[in-house]
Amino acid sequence: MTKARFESIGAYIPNKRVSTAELTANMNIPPQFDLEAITGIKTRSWKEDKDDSYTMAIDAANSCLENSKYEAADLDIIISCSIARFVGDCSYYEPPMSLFLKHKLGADKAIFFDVSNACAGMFTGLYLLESMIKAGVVKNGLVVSGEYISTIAETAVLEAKDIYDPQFGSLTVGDAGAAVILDKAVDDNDVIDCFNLISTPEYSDLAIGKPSNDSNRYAMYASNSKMHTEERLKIWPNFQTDMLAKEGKDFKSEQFDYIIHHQVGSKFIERLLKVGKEAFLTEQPESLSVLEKYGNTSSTSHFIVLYENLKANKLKDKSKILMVPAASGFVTGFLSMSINNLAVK
Amino acid sequence: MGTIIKATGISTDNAIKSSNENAVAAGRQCIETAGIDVNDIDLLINVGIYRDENMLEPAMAAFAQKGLGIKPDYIKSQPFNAAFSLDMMNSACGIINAIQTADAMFKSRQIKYALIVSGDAHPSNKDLESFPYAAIGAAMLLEYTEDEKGFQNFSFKHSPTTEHSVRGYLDFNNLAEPAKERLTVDMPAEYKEKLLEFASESTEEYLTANKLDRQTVKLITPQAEAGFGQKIAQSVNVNDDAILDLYKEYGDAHSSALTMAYHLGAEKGLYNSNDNVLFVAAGAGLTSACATYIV
Repeated sequence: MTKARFESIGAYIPNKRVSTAELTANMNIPPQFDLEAITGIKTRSWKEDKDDSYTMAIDAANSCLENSKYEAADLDIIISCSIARFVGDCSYYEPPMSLFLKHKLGADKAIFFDVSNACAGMFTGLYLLESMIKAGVVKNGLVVSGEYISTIAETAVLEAKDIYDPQFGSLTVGDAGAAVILDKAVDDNDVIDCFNLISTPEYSDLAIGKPSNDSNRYAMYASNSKMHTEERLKIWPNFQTDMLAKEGKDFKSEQFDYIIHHQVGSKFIERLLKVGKEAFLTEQPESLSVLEKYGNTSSTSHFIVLYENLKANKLKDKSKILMVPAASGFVTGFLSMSINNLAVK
Repeated sequence: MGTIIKATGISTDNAIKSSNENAVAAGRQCIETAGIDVNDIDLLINVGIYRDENMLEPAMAAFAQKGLGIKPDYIKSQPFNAAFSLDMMNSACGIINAIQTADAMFKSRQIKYALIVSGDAHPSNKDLESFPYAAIGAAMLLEYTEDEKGFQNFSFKHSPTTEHSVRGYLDFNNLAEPAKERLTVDMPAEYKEKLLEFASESTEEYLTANKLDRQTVKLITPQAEAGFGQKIAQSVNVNDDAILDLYKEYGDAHSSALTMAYHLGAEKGLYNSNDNVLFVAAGAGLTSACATYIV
């Protein structure tokens, strides 16, 4: 069967940074905790006045197209995946963001839809697109997310009371746009090897994003301590072990060079690496991160990590990369791929 | 080989104002009708647009998956017993995107059943004049068959600009109500007329391109206003006997409109084996989506 590959990747990272010290200095109730030490986030990327979900998606898509052999008019499909869909101060339900993007980019023949799946939005778009390429429905497609999410951090600054506050986790987020074009793989050096996602909503009420109960902004209410129990974190390695076993494989034999976890916080990533090591009974690959500089850019976070590492030429040739989503829902899974020619100009 | 409808379900109880509750109620009816084990559902797509409390995350599909008891927890399930759920949004056309996506997933992955649910509601869960859509839920269970039946020839079209489109959004500048109960749906005066024109043109092009027999094809259409489907049928010279006029009784069921029309039509015995049923969706954009369903 046809396989798909990452043909190109692009990003828009706003120049503005907000340090953890600056953010917490604005809190109504003086923080009783060292957020930087807890999360590993020194600064987070922050939208500039000109930015919203739409413009960040456009900028990320154009960045991706600059790194691609395709032009917008060649695209068969556009899937927009951001959590909020801001055009100016309005968060859209319809028409879909993907239609606005298609018009602006001039992707005349592209079919389009939006997906919404919390921080697993881009994974979800890629998962569907990979299936459509394999099934021969499309030859290529653009998966894009313009993630303007810092509004929930602003809400938390005004409303969070302490480290146990359900809005505490919102202080980690940053803004960024990311885009990926998939097409058919032509060799084994650039290919999505294995890609599976799973939703386990037993505890879906533990992380809810919606307008604040107390003000006119979006807010995120998450019971991280309940959501990120060891049992929940083990879903990923258990699931991946089972899926690999179906193909007669195991984690060690996959020989991953790098692993990219969701950029929620350094402690969270450390815990996942530990859970992975224990469940897979092997050392974990080198963990890539941009947490310190950009914070948790939600649906774009793994792709900003990949983009930044490619841009800085930090990845070795013929890398094998494992990406592991972790999103409200709870959604996890794994995307493993080989990359060699994927490059950022 | 094709993706066929195993069962459908709808939720039209006026007492239910929540999009999630309607989606779950319709899903439950659909699963019961199909008589399947919920553990055989591997993919759940919610195509509803307007959600309770303007919720951003998780996906509303997560609540539907949990509400329907579809493999809510992997650790406690058997190995490989996993489902994936997501929200897909493309106004009233999302149902066709979702069917096409499910069809691609059947062809490229090992999945047994895919369930598409929908439900729209004003975020306040109140009946408001300003909200033009009905609080209705629908569900469609799909499976893949070796027979030469099911959905085929997906086609999507959109107008050159969005100038005539309805726009639905949460406006953070408007401080009249709390944001979790606020919604603006701007529907230009000419919207429904333009939508009818656009849907009719799209149907005409599709019928011609796919050489469908206008004497026998049966249309499933949006119900944006009374007589909407009949007007489309008349403009493309297709018999409108098989079109139910649902607007008067139910209003505009938006993302649930096509599934509901199919469900009620099937109940009345309108579709026979080997019939060509043409699903025509149309909504914001303006966007249309067509697919032929061979019963």
